[in-house]
Amino acid sequence: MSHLHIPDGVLPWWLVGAGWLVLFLALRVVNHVAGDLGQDRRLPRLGFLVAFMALAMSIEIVPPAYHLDLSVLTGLLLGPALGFLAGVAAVIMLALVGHGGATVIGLNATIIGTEVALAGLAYGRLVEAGIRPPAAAAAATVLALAASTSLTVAVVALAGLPALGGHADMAGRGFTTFIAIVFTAGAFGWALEAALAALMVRYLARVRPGLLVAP
Amino acid sequence: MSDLDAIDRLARGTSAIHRARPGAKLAGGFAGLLGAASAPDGATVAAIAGLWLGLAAVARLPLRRLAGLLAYAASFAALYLLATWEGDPRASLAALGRVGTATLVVLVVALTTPSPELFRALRPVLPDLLADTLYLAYRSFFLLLDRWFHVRTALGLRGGLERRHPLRALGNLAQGLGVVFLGAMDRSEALHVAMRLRGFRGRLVGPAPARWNRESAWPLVVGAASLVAALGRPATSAARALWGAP
Repeated sequence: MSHLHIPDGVLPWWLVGAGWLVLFLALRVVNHVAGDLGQDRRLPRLGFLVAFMALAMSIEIVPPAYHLDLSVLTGLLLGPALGFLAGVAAVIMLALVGHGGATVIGLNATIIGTEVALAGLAYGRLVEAGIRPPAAAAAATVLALAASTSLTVAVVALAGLPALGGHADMAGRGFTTFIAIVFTAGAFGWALEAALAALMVRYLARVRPGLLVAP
Repeated sequence: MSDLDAIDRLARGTSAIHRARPGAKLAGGFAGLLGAASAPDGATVAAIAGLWLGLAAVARLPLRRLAGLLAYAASFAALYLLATWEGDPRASLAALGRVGTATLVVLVVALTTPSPELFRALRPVLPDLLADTLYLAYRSFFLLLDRWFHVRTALGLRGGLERRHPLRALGNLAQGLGVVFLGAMDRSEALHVAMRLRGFRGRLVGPAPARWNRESAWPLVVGAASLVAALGRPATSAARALWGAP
């Protein structure tokens, strides 16, 4: 998958708790910014876009056994606040289908929510700057995925790698290999995802251009 | 077939664990998760995994399917274990066991509880907007999945997804997803109109809560036993240290 997914039991409890706290505060902000959606068409759209993300995440491209993400489309259609919420809901759905990380939903959801919000924001800014929508979608995708991967690596670094109750050296070979793997394999995934996002945006720009106006 | 689709069908079983109250399964699952994620050593992890495998057997869950779902979490765990490698294979195995057991706990709860009931039980601890989103996403997922199957079949029959031409296949995949995406947008508009016509006032109402029954004790007991197994030894050691016992 293009984004990383922290599993259960590898991070210290203080960091897991901090993740839940950050998510709780972020959701309060989202609730405030999004306002009352009771009579709003954004609520059903939010539901369908989370379902679309979950569907995309279940599609595997073989080779190279890659799972899609498509966060940029969700971000650009919902805006940063609801985009964040969509990312959170998608992570909860993934945790319930056994992708792991139920205790670390706070951290995973914050990271994926940030990815979706950032993708939408970056796409809007790039289009405003005069970049064509497909190229903007590709660039926003790479940026958002690079940011979410870096956030995950930062979380692991912050943990001081205590997963096994030990005190691994952060400059040690294990962590260096970890960074090498996630950024090398990740870059391939980002390129694939960016190409797909650009092709989808090009298709949508042809058949339904009104959809691509950010909220 | 999608994992969510398979899980949804398995969750509609009739075993004793399926009949247990969703709130009891969530509470037991929460205790089991805490126990699995904080188990101090491999033996404790194995004991907790055994408890939950027993519950899966009582629920008559297919072990092969369960193993397939667990493999996904294990692949992520392997990456993190690489980062935490300190040359001790036993410790790494214990860490892998913690990940697998925590995922097993979630799967036993998810595979024995239909999602609408699970979301309803979660509602008291989730913000309303998030709870409503999960309901709608769950409902929408199967509509989109059905449409995606049709689009994928059409693309496959016309040779649009051939591996020999990856670039062309990628373009076709993007268009196929675009069709599903547009369908999702149209259906969300229709759903919005339908919700307003039915008097939606900002909060979705889920199924009625299940009543307490004897079967609800199963997940609670297993969850509590997991927690005791994980915290029992460290708590005993701490008490001994406090009282100066050897």
